[in-house]
Amino acid sequence: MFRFFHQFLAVKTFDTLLAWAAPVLGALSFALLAVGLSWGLLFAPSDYQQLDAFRIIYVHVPSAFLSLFIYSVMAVCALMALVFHIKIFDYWARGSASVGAAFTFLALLTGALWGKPMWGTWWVWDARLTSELVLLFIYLGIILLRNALEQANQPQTLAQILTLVGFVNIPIIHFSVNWWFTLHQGATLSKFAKPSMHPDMLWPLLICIAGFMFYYFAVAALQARRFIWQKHAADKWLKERV
Amino acid sequence: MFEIFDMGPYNFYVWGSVASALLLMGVFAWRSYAQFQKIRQQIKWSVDVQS
Repeated sequence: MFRFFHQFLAVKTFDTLLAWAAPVLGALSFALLAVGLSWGLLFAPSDYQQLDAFRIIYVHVPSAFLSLFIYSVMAVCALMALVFHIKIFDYWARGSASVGAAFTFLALLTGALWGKPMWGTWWVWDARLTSELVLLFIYLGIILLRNALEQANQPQTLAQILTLVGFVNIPIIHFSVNWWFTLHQGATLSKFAKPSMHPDMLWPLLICIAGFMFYYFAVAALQARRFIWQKHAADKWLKERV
Repeated sequence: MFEIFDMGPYNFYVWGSVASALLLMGVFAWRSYAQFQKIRQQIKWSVDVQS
């Protein structure tokens, strides 16, 4: 049984899985985003206070959610790679970093575009906004460190430790709206028990989040494959695949 | 139904957000694909040279 599961941890098997998964997940993401964005932007009713400006939620909330989710995945992968020395977790964490940075930047950008008409300002040094900006800097630091370690032909141990240290920022971002008095509103996604959104607005949001999630898995799979192929270029199994 | 060309003062903000998201995601996905294909071509070239 151990041998059955062990084969899935091998780099060769992981690469096969990613080669199959990337196009399938990419197509799923495209379909879900087409449905979710069309529904949310064209057919969902307007908000009674924010009117049509609320529709920014269909790109802002998925981006912000993914920025935290991807970092959490990276932290779990870094821990597994650090403790058990399983290479595929490190490849996935490395492949995820740039996607996470892109979504964090997008969350900040769309947040600014939402803040201007609703708050009257592009930016405030609010706890939620500032901690999200810190997350972007952590992502960029990890990417730079990983590239530097790769160029120096050093193991990625320091980057894995930095990823774990940076994880302290995730609960700070999530609970910032509860711990401090902020201009940013409370959590949207933790209100499923008693949804504060009408189903006509909520469903397209959930579809958009699923579309963004599949996008992450598809693009991170491409990125992870790039790092695998760079590292294992001399391996016989890989040469047979080109 | 949402009036695409008649959103008043919010037009720029909503479509700016959606356009920037789709543009960033599209460019990033294409770049990731191109980077992988570049590595693949390099390895293919080295295999062809060796054989």
